[in-house]
Amino acid sequence: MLNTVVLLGFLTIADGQAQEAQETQEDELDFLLATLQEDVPPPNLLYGMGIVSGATETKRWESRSRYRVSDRVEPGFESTHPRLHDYTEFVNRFYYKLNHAEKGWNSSVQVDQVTLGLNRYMLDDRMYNSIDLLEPSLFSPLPNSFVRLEKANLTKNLANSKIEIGDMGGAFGRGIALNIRSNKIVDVDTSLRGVKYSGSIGNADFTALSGLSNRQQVSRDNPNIGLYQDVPHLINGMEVMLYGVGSATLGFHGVTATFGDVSLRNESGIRRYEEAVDATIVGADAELYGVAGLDWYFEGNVFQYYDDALNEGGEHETGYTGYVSASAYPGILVVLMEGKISKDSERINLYTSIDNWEVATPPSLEYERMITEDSSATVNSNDVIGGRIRVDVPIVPAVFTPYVAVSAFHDKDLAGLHFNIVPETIVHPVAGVQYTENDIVVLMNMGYRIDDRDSVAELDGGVDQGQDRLMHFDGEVGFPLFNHEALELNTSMWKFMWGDNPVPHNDFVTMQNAVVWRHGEDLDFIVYQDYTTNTQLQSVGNITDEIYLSGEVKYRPTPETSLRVLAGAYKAGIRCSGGQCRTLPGFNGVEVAYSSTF
Amino acid sequence: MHKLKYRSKKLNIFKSIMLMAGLFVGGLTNSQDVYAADNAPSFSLRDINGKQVSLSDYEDKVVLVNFWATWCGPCQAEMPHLQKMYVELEDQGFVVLSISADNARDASKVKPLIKRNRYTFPVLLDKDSTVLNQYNPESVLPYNVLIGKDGNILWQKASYAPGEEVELREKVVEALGFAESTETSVKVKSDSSSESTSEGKTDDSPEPTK
Repeated sequence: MLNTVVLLGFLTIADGQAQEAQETQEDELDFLLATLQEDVPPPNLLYGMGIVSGATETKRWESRSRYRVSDRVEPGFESTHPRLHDYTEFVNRFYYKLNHAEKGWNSSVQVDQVTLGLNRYMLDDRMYNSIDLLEPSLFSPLPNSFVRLEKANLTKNLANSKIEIGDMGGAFGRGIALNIRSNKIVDVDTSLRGVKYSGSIGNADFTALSGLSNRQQVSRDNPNIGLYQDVPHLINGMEVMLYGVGSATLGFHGVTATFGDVSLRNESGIRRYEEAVDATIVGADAELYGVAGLDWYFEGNVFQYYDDALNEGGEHETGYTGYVSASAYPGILVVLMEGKISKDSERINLYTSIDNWEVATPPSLEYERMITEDSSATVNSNDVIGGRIRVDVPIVPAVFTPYVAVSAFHDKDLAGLHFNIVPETIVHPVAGVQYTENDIVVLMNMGYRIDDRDSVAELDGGVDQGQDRLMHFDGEVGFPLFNHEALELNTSMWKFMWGDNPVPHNDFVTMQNAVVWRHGEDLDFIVYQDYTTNTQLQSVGNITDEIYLSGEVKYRPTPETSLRVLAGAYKAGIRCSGGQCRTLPGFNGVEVAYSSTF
Repeated sequence: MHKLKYRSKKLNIFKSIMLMAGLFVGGLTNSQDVYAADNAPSFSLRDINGKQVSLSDYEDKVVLVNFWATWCGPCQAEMPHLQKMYVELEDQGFVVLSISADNARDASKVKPLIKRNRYTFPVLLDKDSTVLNQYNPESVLPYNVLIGKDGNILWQKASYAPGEEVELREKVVEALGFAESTETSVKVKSDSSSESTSEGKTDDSPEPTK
């Protein structure tokens, strides 16, 4: 306001001067305006005398509003009320962040809210829910609405260290001992709610953390059905990294886990601190740069299980995982080699995988975009030995790079959700190309995976279990059309051919295609088309049983704001990211999504 | 004879529409450009060669923080444009701080990707997504944050489509404080010079600040 008053006064004076003087004054006015503008503090700067004075605040709001078409029909009312079980779902996620650059701290809060609508109906004067939002372990005064302070974090940067309080992630080495981080792609966000301290002394970095697991309750993109209180598990960890040890970086880490009882979901997590440790992991890693012309990475971890469920009554008290990678750059080639040996390391995730998150996720060495339906085999790190080599040939670097890769494993694990009853040998060659020049983008990958069952008479009774086979292709092509128009084509295709499995599965083809028309930078029109002949899929197409079609419009009125409207259907299916796989349900209906940062 | 009826269905539909409309209008009116004035949260990460790199190392530069991942197709499409911009504008005080949002389990894939594309900008590893969450809670990739010489966020944008690098370049040039309409205003390095300086250029990132 003060700036405005000064400016107006100056204008009044300038108005009464001669032409020559006026020009001089206008120059000065421009300078004054520029000066004033520079001095104007950021609009989101917080004033006052309190501890947040001088911080800038940022708010972000994400909203999803969906009308879900349900395939479920009420017996006897198929013709009169065919859409009885359709319902609406409103999901809101609100972030509030404070950042004080000068004092070196920032904090954030995430609040999630979900409300179901149209999910109640009266039958014979009794009320029913088509969908129950909450299970008894979660309380809400409104049974079809739920609000939760999902995440809160405060980070303070000190001289050579940093302390985090609240919700945070943690990852040591290659994630074999600890790998907790948000994975928004599969709508998984589990954090550790506690304290993490990381710092540096000389060439050493160290990190220590302790926290109770805090699983995201409200799904932003997936259906919110039967939300339940997650069981807090206690994770403690420490890592020391030594840099510049010759040409190497050395790391040492340890993790302890105390798991809660899944039958006591409302029990306070604080009690974990007084309970006995259920599992420990200790490991070491070494990264060597340019040794024998290669960049090397080695990591070894030993798992110790004390809990009866984890060690199956003492039969699996210890486990281990070793991982090595080496990258070489001979001539124009870039070669990446990886190897892994693992035994009983995924037992650490026994209690948490039922809640769709993992304490640790070792490298799978697989091409995860084309995961098989037998995801347990694909991302297995429980009892497996194998490796992978990838050779890139950058004929024109950053423009044209074809590559070939092949992975080979022997997977002996038969527990969990494996399709096979005998160990199997897996071979998976993949080839692809990347072309990016000017505004043309071409990315293509294709491969053929064979899971060949071993002959183990005591397991298969002398009957050959055959092979699971997967043929896959995915591609992305983008190019400009005219003016500000551009076109993108995306396609993914899987063809599964199954051997003998305990649960018979039909051979099937699955495709996911998309055509994107970009009108400038702010408006996209997208048509999605899915196709599958998988008879075990938990969704039905909206065009035919096998064909799904949907359309989407994306609009970005400002860089900080986006609006998206989707109508139609897409199929259910397995989706993996970062070693986490989820079977996501299909969708049929309308979705309006909105997000804004302000 | 069973009797079935919806409970307050009309009212629910009305409330739903009003809620959606209210949220939308409320959001639009609040979505001013003020976010651009936010101070950039500080961070310090190790690069792919083990060197510690902090945002504060580039206090007097215009910094483009680019979040990407090895599995992200649009990221791969965008990065050659970032490299080109980095090479051409580096002498004007511009730097690309590329932050891999790859999971810890995929960290071994990062350096080979950088090598095969001959990228020379600093590449940092954010294995537990701490920095990603600070800047980009929705975790959309790629994600670009342009930070001015004063440490304030000037512009940020999620995702990439071919052609959008033009707007990004305009923002960078604007932040650097010169007009790019004439060739003389920007000292553009030749392709050959960029090739000759490419190999191992990541080693030219600032020395460890410890």
